[in-house]
Amino acid sequence: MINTTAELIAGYTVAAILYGGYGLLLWIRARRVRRRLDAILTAASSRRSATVPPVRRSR
Amino acid sequence: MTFPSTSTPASARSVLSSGLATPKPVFDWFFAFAALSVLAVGVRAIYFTPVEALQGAAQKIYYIHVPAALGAYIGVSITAVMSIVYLWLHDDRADRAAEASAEVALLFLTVVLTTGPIWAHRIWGAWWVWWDMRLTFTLFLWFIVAAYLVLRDGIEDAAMRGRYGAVLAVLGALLIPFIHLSVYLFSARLHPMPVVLKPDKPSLPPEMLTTFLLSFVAFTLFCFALIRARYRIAVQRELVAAFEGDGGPR
Repeated sequence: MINTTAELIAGYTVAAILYGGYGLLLWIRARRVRRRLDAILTAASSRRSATVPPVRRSR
Repeated sequence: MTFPSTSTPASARSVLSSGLATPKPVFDWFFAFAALSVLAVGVRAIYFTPVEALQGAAQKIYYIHVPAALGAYIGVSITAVMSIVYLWLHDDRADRAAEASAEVALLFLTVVLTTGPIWAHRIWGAWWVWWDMRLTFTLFLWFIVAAYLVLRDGIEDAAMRGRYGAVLAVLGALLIPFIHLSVYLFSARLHPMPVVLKPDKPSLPPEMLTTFLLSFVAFTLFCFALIRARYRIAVQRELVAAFEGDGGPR
């Protein structure tokens, strides 16, 4: 039997880097888009509360 | 999450009314389960599966190389089917699913095209041979999927982007049967005949076959988990684009 342990390690390392790298990329994208979405919603919510007239209290 | 009903552009309101009002988390229990399954299968392949007598430890690349190839077939097939659905029904969800699947398929194809040569270098004595049609057709499929994503990125108009991309995706998927059958169709080849996906009984020893089947299940789950996560990012991007009114989803 030939010793091919180095190839085994190289193959699994390359696969781990590719899958892990893509997972990291997805995580960064998800975080970025979520932040933008939250910022938009917060701004829209602020605009909404600013346009609603204050409630007049009845005596 | 609740969205404000006032001060939203018409495009955003249409997105909200189409059922996207509550974006689902990108990473959830299914993603974690799929990722852990892949890790567990890797540990089983390396530590608890017998070493092949002639090739030594490098043969264990088989347990990530072949499932990655099958995952790529699944990804490209989903892209093609969703593209047909898009061309037929003009449903944006199908276009989004097609794009998500294509991106994941490109990842799996990249894994196939990098792990294969590492294995082949010692066993075949060459990193790459152009006359092995399974290698060459797989590289062609990689180019087509990459071209699909680049094409989509370069077209501003959403309808045109979906239509052109769909046509390319359907044509590209036609390579899959040729890749799988290339070992039967071409006599000059280095790839061996199939040992599992063939009409007869699988010719792998039982322990290796079990590891391979577990690996196939784990990588298929991981493929679907990645596609789902990528799809959900696309949904949130579409929502952001609709609120900002910048002309449609990307």
